[in-house]
Amino acid sequence: MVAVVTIRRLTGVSVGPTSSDITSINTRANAADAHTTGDTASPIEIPSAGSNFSFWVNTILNATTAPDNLIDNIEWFTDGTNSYGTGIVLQVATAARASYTEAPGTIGVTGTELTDTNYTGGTITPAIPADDNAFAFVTGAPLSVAGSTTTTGEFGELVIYQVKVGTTATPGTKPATPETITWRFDET
Amino acid sequence: MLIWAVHYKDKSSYQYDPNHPKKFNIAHIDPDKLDHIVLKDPNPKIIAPVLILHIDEKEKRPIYVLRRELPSDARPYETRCHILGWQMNVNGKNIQSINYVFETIGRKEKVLDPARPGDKNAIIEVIREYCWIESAGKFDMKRSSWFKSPSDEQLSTLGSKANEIK
Repeated sequence: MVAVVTIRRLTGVSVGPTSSDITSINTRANAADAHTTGDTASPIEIPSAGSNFSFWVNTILNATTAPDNLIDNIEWFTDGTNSYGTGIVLQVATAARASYTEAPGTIGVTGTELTDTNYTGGTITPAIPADDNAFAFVTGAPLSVAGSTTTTGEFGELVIYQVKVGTTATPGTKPATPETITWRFDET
Repeated sequence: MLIWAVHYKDKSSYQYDPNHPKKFNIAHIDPDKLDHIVLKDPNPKIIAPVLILHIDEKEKRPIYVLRRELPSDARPYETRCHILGWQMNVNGKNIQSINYVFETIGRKEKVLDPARPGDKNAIIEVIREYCWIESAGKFDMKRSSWFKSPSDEQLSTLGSKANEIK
């Protein structure tokens, strides 16, 4: 049978984090470490200086039905266009599943910046994601995600992303239409 | 979704059954016996195939991999690409002919309700799938990531358990 694969967002503690199915729906990258499609209680504060961040968003694929043989060649990409508006960017990195680190920060204000130093559970690549590097990954030049599976359960590396908000950002729910993130893989 | 069937030179044939994938899947295909592969709609009432790939020279190594793009918030249906073709070495040159058979899974469209003709507000949602084929030479990432070469492990899966099927 063709494998049944879902996209999961992991939140909470490192041992036994909460795993939410976010396939086909949106998930808020706001100032809280929880999956929600429409929460407005924990916005990212626009800073008076420097930058604030969403809590980083840990995502991973999960097979609830195994492939006949193998899944690999995992890819992740955006539509290539930053629709957040002025002063807001999206950055992304990957890490081994074992490196999962709960997103820290101050709820309703800012998350901690996604860097290798701050992601204490293991190594992220790149160590310091460049501003807006997520939108460089498009269908023709996707982010290659290491990993494969022959069975059920989570597979592949974590893809971790974070919204960065600068002083020039304006208030409101951004973007008006959610950014689109797509996963692709091969199956045999 | 589209399913495939293999037809061997000895006139025997096997069809992939998604409900019993361990019985016969691509790892069980015997490349040495292969005459042609058919990609078709699983509905038995639809007799016309979508694609038939003939392996008419024994040096041709068949290729089959399913590439899948999961649904997203903006495009809430899955897109699949059956990568079906062959590879052959000719005078030391790697020759490939690859077909990319795309299909949508669960694509919905809003249409006027035919049960309420004339009512422009009577909108209903119907499943309306699309299928199209692109044909090309060798894998080429420059064209599109859909045209990226599968991993060596994926390519080696086809026929890897051929001995299990007598």
